[in-house]
Amino acid sequence: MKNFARTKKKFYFMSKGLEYFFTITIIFLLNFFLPRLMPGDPFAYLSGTSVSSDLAVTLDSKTEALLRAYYGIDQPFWQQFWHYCQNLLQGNLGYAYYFKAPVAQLIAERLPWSLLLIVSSILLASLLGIGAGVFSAWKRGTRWDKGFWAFFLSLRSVPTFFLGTLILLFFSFQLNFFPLFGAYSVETIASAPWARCQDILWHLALPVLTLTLAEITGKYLLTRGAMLDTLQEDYILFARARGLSEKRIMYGHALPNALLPVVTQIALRLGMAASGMIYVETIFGYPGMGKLMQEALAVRDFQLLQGVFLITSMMVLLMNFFLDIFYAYLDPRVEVR
Amino acid sequence: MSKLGNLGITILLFFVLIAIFAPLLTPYLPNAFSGQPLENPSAQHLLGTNGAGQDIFSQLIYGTRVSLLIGIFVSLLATLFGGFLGLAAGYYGGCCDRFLMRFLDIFLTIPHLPLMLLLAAYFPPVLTTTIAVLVLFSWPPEAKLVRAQVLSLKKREYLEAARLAGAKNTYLFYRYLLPDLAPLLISQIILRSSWAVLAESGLAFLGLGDPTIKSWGMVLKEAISYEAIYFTPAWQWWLLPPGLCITLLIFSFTFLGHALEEKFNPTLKEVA
Repeated sequence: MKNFARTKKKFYFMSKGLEYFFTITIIFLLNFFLPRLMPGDPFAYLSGTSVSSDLAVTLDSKTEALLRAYYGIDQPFWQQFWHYCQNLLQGNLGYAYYFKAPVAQLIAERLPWSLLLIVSSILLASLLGIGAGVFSAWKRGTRWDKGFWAFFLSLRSVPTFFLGTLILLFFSFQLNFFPLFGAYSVETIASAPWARCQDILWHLALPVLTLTLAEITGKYLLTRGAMLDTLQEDYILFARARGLSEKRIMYGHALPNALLPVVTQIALRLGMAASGMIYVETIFGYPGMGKLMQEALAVRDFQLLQGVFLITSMMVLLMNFFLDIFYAYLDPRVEVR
Repeated sequence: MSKLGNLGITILLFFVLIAIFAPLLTPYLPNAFSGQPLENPSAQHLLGTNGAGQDIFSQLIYGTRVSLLIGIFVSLLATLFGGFLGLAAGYYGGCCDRFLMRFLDIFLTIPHLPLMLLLAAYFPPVLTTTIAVLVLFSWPPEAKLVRAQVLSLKKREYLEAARLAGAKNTYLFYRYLLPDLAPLLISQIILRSSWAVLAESGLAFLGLGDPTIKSWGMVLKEAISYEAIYFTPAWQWWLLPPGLCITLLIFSFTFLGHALEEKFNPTLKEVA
């Protein structure tokens, strides 16, 4: 039996490890091949030969050739790939030609804000969504359950960018409760840590509220579905036959098992939270990765765009990884050393 | 069907009628410069005009066509393509199936919107770009769903019996698999349409739509781009209506899709 558990655990970590390896490889390959297989290149855009170019200043052909040589776009494919790998290993993501700074530096400035936003939103949404899901499954078939279900599905019908715009409009512009944009006020940078902390939380409130509302429905539906499935199991019937209280059955017996598929699904849907993050940061002018991506998009800074894609994907994968560990911890069948 | 399902189908029909009879409902074309810039609502311009003097009400009316067409087009293509691959993978199984499924799992973990933005940025901002990107990203979940369904259908005994009687694969497909898959495909087409409408307006909102085709997302984006939108009452007739239109359409798709799912899939009845 013990031997079996060990093989199973080994298998779990190996298959997970392989999956991560392939995912990272595919992201790297996408990031390398996309710009090279696409019609035109960054310089085609800058030189005005690309269709989507609407720049006032364009490059002449001599400068273009010079730039191509400088960025190594004139080299053979495999050589470019070699350089690409080398650069990645050194943490060099290229140079953002519009923002005139290394991509890695721009991203490093923005990453902490995005992490703060996305982690707190997902935690909050999971907590509230799971709570509401358990409650709904508990009161299944009643008015409460139906009301919750209809409410959360309606909530999901509001597009994130519209929801964010409305929240910004009412709380910041009409009521003046919250700041209009940014992650902190400039005047508090030098103030005491506690005041600074308050200021940051005050700026974080509305973006987190929006992203939480955008994320909560998925968690609610997952939990409700998983709970309803679990409640059909025989051991629940047995628990009920033993005369345990409904509360104890819900939280002590059904929830631990229902949580497993929920955690898996939350991990799978992290990528969607990254989408929400782009909208939310754009609307609230929150200086994270999503805002950076939107800024890079507006000026078609492709080096930066790719860097942001790469790091955002890695961020999502990393959170995925933590959830996988959490899953192994939750599921006693997968032992963690 | 449930009350919410009925509400969903009513709203959807309402929008379909608006889309069909758009030219009768408004005297202006969405791109026509029919008034002064930034007019307030009046009898001539029910929702005022935008910064270029175009009638916002007309843009919403014609935008219904754009949103509905994108929704239907993307969902049909995605369901056809994804459904076909899922069917083949589930039916034949084997190494190709396993490879495809692993690939789809990996593809689904990569955050979609950043990749969509990256792709869309390389192509000229026309409607075909948007549709192509949306189709590219929407077939994998369809393929997975259909595959799972096919796997359970495959084990049915009547299928086995038909095969023993000498039925060919194509016959089995048309006679047995497709009718059994149809309910799933129909509710998927509806839920996928809702996703496509949402994604299109999202891309437009982030500046990756066709500026000459006024979808609801594009109207919303233009409203947001107007600097004084939050400071003047203009948000009431410029920002709110397109957002509400998108919300209502998604709402109707969502509840209709769920109602159909429930109707066709009796095992779901207690759950939903």
